[in-house]
Amino acid sequence: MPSRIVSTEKASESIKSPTQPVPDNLPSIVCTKWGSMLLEIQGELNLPPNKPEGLNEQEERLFTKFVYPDLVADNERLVRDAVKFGRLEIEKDMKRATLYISTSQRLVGTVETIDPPLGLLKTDIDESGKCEFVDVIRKKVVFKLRPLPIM
Amino acid sequence: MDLYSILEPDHQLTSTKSLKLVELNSEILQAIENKAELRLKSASTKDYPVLVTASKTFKIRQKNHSNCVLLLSEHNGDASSYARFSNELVLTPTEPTINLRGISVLTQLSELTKKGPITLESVFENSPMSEQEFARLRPELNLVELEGNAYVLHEELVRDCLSSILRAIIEELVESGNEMNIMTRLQSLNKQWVTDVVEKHQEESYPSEITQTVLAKYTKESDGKLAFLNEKVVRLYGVLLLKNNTQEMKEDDFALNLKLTMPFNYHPDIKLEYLKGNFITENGFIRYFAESDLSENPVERISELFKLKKEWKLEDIEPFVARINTKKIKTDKFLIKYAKVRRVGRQTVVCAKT
Repeated sequence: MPSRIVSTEKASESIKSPTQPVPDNLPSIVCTKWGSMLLEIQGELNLPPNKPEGLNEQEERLFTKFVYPDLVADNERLVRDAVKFGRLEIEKDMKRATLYISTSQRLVGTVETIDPPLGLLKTDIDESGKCEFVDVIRKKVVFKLRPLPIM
Repeated sequence: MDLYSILEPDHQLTSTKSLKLVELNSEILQAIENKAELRLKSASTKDYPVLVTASKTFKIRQKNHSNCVLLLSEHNGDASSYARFSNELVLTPTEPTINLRGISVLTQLSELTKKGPITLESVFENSPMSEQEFARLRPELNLVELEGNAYVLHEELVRDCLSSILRAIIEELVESGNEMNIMTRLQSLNKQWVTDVVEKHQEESYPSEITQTVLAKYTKESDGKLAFLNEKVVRLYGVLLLKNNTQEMKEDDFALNLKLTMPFNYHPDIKLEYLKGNFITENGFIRYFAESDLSENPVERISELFKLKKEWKLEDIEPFVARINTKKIKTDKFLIKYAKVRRVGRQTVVCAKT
């Protein structure tokens, strides 16, 4: 197998700017310079395989189009259907987080430091065979507890 | 912040693009920070992949988990999940190995061929190791490139070349009046002077690729000075002498014969321990036996060793069991599991369990 060079430019830039909260006017979250963030849930997040037909107006509003970020898309415009599955709130202390799933469930979690940090490695198996560390993620939001019902 | 997710997120973004999460150890993190070059390598498509920095090699292992790990991208105050991971890649330091597949062994200079050349560069490309490790290991394996083709030099060719180098240097030292302290002078020689002398004196002209490889293997360089590694030199001559002698030799005769095979005026200390793992002694006789011929399986290896000799001194058996003692515990403690270990006076003796 020929060896492949793994470029590190994007990840290097991300490392140099410390993990930062998004500006104050936005809900505070922990993400990298490139806007990457990890969320860990115990169990499964069940999503429909395709966008269902015949949705009413309210259901239709849950769906949107998602364009892959430049970080991974390499100037290619990749668009996929996306569905809203919840709302995340991170408390001011940047340690505790709450995830509301739909209107019936609530998960309580924490913001954790990942040690050792995780690198996001993108690989292309096309002719270019490009490999690249695009980001380095040092924080994740973890939900370990069972969901709590919302009355 | 509202959270969205694409339908059926996966680590595979498109048919050709995929994402992986990799646990970054301090060396890789440092390399990323310095924008240093990293490489993904493997000996072949069937072998395990490694990630290498300029000086270290890390084996890549996949660690699966059952949690739902989502990668989100933040945009305008909302975030969308576009990849999901059920595993992480873990990097563990590993011993570098040079992939010698398809490389011929060169026994004589006249055997140079141009058939299907494999260059040193392609050997490096196909070896799961870093550049610095390759540079360090290449001379140890007698690997050279001659006329665009990589070869492993046969030990006898290496010995002949080393003899020729030593003779040239010693001759020059004698001429310059250093006859009485040759062994001391061999521990501190100017590198350029050595190269010049070797070029000037060699009776059989070896290509500089070979002489440089032999010098790199049998000398140590510090501050531009070369020092001959006598122990390694003795090992080379000793192993070849044992290999070429099919009959058992008396231990005393062996030391004498070994001195005779070495260049005139070269008198290093000769100790049998320098040849460890390459010989067996019994009743004052010595014969060749290579540790690499034994089984890799500990039980089989121990039984093979006791077939060769019923009773071993601890220090004699040590080099033959070092490879299977993977946890590097003390040899006597390690052997208790497989054999009887007892003390006789000041010595520790190992014999088979009955």
